[in-house]
Amino acid sequence: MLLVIAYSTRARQSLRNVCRTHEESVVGQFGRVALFEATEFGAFQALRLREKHGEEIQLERTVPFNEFESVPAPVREAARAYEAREVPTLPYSRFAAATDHPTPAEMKGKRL
Amino acid sequence: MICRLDHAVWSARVVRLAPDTKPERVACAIRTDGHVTARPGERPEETRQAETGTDERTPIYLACPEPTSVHDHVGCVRPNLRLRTRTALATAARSRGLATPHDDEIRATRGALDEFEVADESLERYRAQVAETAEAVERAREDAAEARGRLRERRENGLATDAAERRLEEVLAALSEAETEAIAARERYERERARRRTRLDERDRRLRLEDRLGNLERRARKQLTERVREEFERALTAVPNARSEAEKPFDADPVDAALAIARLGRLRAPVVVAVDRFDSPTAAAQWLSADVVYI
Repeated sequence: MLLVIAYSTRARQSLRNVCRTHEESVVGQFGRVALFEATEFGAFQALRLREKHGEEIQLERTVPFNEFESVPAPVREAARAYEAREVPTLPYSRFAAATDHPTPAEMKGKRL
Repeated sequence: MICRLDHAVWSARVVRLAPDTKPERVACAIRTDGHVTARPGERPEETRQAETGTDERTPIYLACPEPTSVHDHVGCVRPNLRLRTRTALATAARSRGLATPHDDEIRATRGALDEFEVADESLERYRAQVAETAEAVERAREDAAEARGRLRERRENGLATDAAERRLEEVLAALSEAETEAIAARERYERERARRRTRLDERDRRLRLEDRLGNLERRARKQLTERVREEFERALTAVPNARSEAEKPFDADPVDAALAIARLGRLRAPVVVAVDRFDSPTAAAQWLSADVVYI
């Protein structure tokens, strides 16, 4: 999908107008952010906005997130284990220290 | 005001112009910035000339005091007028010196916004370079595959391979160069994206300020309209030949509302009246307590 982010009131207004007019090509809209369908028409609308507002419109393309493809098993397992913890107030850093799961610092340095 | 149209000159508080005069042109003559703008109590000396643009007709000259911002809303009353009634009414309240508790913050926020300056640096050429160099790598790879195939073929057939080997070396060198360029282009783009991140953060801050200003202005507008609402309703019911119901003042006929707002606000400059609600130009001027250009 195409991720469109507006960085000014004018750009946000234009984005809203596009979303209203082309509902069928808009996957979702959240305030000043919208997801357009990855079609030529979606790209056309996104580019039109950037043409009009320059850097006040940021465009990115999203990719489906598959944790089995891009996230190492220890990280996936840590997420599952932490959400199944017995003490709800236990912060993750302490949880990780008491178990074999990766610490926040270990994970922060590593790009997917 | 002093009004000159073709060879006729009027110096009067009420001026009547021919019915085919475009009200917008007169309003433009009133609003167009002169080099000197008259302050209240000063003698207006600068003549404002309407920008006639493509209009082939005679220019209109109008010398008058500088209009207040209410004039932008209700300074030109004509049929089919479009009016944002609440905004116009709030501006009218302002023109009479009414203030709100939000004003200091509004000023401060506007000031902060004025100081914001974020450069707009398009990353288009970096993206284009990434795509172009990637394409060049693709082409170079195809060349290399072809050269390799050719060399293999000559070897298998027991033919001389010198030229084919040289060719392969050449294309491999070209491929390596193309790959280096592609990596460099990608790095440049990533670097620019990182730099843009700080600009986008600035823009985020500005957007928050813009939103805050919007909220403050809305609140101020609400208070201002509340404070003149009753007076507005009274003015509305007093509009001669009014077309509106008094119960819903903010849904009033735009012409009625514009006249009522012009009556209660201070416009300083003449009001252009191009509607048939009044018996005479003088009646309009009296009702509005303003100078009038009547069409």
